[in-house]
Amino acid sequence: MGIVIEGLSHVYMAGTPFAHTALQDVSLRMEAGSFIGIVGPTGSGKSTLIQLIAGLLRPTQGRVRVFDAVLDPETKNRKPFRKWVSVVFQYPEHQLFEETVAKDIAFGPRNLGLSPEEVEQRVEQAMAWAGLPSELADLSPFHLSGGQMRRVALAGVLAMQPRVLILDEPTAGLDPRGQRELLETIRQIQREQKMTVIMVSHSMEEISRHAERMFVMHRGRLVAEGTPEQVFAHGTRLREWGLEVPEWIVLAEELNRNLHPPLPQGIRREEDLASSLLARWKEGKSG
Amino acid sequence: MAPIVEVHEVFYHYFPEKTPRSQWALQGVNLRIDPGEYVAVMGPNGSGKSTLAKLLNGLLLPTEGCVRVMGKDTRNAEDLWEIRRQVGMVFQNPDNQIVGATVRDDVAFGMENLGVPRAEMLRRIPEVLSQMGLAGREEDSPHHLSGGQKQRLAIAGILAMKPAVILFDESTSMLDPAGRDDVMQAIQDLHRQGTTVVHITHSAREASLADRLVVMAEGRVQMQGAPGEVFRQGERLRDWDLEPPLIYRLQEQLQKQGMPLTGTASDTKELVNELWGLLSKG
Ligand SMILES: Nc1ncnc2c1ncn2[C@@H]1O[C@H](COP(=O)(O)OP(=O)(O)OP(=O)(O)O)[C@@H](O)[C@H]1O
Ligand SMILES: Nc1ncnc2c1ncn2[C@@H]1O[C@H](COP(=O)(O)OP(=O)(O)OP(=O)(O)O)[C@@H](O)[C@H]1O
Ligand SMILES: [Mg+2]
Ligand SMILES: [Mg+2]
Repeated sequence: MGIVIEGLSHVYMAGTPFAHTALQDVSLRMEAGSFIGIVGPTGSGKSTLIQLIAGLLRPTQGRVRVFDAVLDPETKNRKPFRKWVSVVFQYPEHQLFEETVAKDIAFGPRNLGLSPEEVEQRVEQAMAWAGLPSELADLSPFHLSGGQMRRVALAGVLAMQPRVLILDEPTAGLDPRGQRELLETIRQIQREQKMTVIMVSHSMEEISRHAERMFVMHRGRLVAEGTPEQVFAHGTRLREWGLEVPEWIVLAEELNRNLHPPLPQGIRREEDLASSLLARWKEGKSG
Repeated sequence: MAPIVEVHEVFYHYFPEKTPRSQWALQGVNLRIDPGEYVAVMGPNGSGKSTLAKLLNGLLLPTEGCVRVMGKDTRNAEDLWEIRRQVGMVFQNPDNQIVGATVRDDVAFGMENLGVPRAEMLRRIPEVLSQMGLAGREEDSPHHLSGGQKQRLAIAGILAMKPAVILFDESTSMLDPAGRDDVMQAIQDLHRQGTTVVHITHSAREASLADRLVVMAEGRVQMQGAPGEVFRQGERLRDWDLEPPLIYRLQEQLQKQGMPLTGTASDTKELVNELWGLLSKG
C-alpha cells in the first residue's frame, strides 16, 4: 500500500480562540502508482489533507504513512516526505522565485544533486510536458500571463519526478486545450514512471476521465470513496455534498426520461455519450 | 448610444523598447462596450486578456492607441481616479487584492477609499458577504481562508464599491460549483441592475451566458458575436485552443457522423427535444 491515513485530524491554531477544525477523523488508503481524485466544496479540507500528505503540516491527531515514512503528532523528521512528495499548490504563482523560467524549473532537480546535463535535460522535458514554448525559457517568470506562470510551477514540480505528485486544482487558469493536454500528459507520466498522482479538482469532468479512485470530502470528513462510476451513482447525494454531476451525465439522465430502453449505464466521458447516441440512432434506422 | 468603454487601435507591451512589435501583448485591439452590456472574453493563455482588462481601468496605459471610459481618456492623469472608481476589477489571483486584517476590514477598505459614509458601509458589508457566502467569517483573517473563500472575498470587496463597470478576470477558476453559481448569479444580478460586466473566463459554459462573446488570440480580437453564433464555429475556435460547450460539441460530432440534427440547439432542453424526435422514430 502506498499511502495509508488513519484517524487523521487537523486543527488550525489549536488552543487559541481561533481554533478551527479543518479535518476530522479521516482514514483512507491510496494505492501506489494510482491516479487519485479528491473532490469537495470550498473549505471542506482538501488542501489541508494534501499538505498533511506532503508533510507540510503536522497532524493534530492520527497518522499519515507514505511508503515507509510515518507522520504523526510527534514526528520531528519530515524530510522523507519532502523528498518523495511534491505539490503544485492552488496558486502556484507563489512557488516561483528565480530570475528566469529555466532557472526556476531547474531549482528542484539541481537540489536533487543531478549533473548539469541531467538538470538541463529534465528542464527541457518538463517544459515540453507542461506545454511551455522554449522561447519562454529565458524570460522572467513574473513577466508571464497567469496561465503561463501556472505551467512554469507545474514544470518545476514535474522536473523533480517525485514518487507522489500532488496537484491542487492543476488546470485552473489554463485554456481548454491546455487543460486537456496537461492531464493527458500527467496520466502518461504517471503510467510510465509508476508515479502516484493525487489531484484535487472541482471538475467532475476531469476526475471522471482520469481518476481511478476518488475521495469526497465534506466539512472536514471523508463522506464517500470509490471509482468515479461508484461515486456518481450516489445521484442526489452528490448535490448535497456540493458536487456537480458531469454535464453529459445530466444530459443522458434528461434523455432517459423519454427513452425506452434507457441509454446504457457507465457513460464516463463525452465520447461514450456520443457513441451510444449514434448506435441508438443507427439501430432505429435499420430496425 | 455612446459606448461606456472604447478601445481604439490599442497596441501595448510591457517592455516596448526591448520587444519586437510582432510579439507585443496587444496588437491593434478595437472594442466598444455599451453601457449595461454583458461581455465575455475567452482566449488562450498569453493572448492578452488580463493586459486588456488592466488597460480598461487605467492600471496600464496604451503604448499606442487610446482607451476611453465614459468618454474620458485613460491617459489624462486627472481623470484616472474617476476611471478607477467607475471600473472595478477582480484580479486573477485574489492574493493580489486582499489587504485587510479581517474579512470585514478587507471589504471596508475599498469603500473607505471612495469615501462611502459609515452608515452605508455598515449596510453594504453584510449584504455583500452574505451574497458571496462569507457571512459568519467577518472577524477571520483573510489568510486563514481556503483558496476558494479568498476568491469570494475579493469579489465581495469589489461588489461593495458599486462600480459602473466590473471586470472579472477568471474569478471562478478556483471555485467549487456552489461558488461558481454564486459568482455567475452575482454577475447576472449586476447585469440586471444595469452594471456593465466584462467576464474573462476559460469556461465556455459560463461565457454562453453573456450578451456578446469576444475571442482574443495573439493580442487581437479574432471573433465576436452572440455566444451561440461563435460556438457554432468549432473549427475556428479550435485554431485558438478553445472549445465550444458540450451541447455544441455534441451536435457537431453527431452531425459529422451523419445524424440529421439541425445544429441549431442552443441549450440542453432544445437538444434533448431534437434527439427524442430522432431516436424515437425507429
Ligand atoms: N492557515 C489556516 N489557518 C486557519 N484556518 C485555515 C487555514 N487554512 C485553512 N483554514 C480553514 O480550514 C478549512 C479547510 O480549508 P482547506 O484550505 O483545507 O479547504 P479546501 O477544501 O482546500 O477549500 P478550497 O476548495 O476553497 O481550496 C476552511 O474552513 C479554512 O477556512
Ligand atoms: N507583468 C508582465 N511583464 C511582462 N510581460 C507580461 C506581463 N504580464 C503578461 N505579460 C506578457 O503579455 C502577454 C499577454 O499576457 P496576459 O496576461 O494579458 O495574457 P492572458 O490572456 O490574460 O493569459 P492567461 O489566460 O494565461 O491569464 C503574454 O505573452 C505575457 O507573457
Ligand atoms: Mg484548497
Ligand atoms: Mg490572464
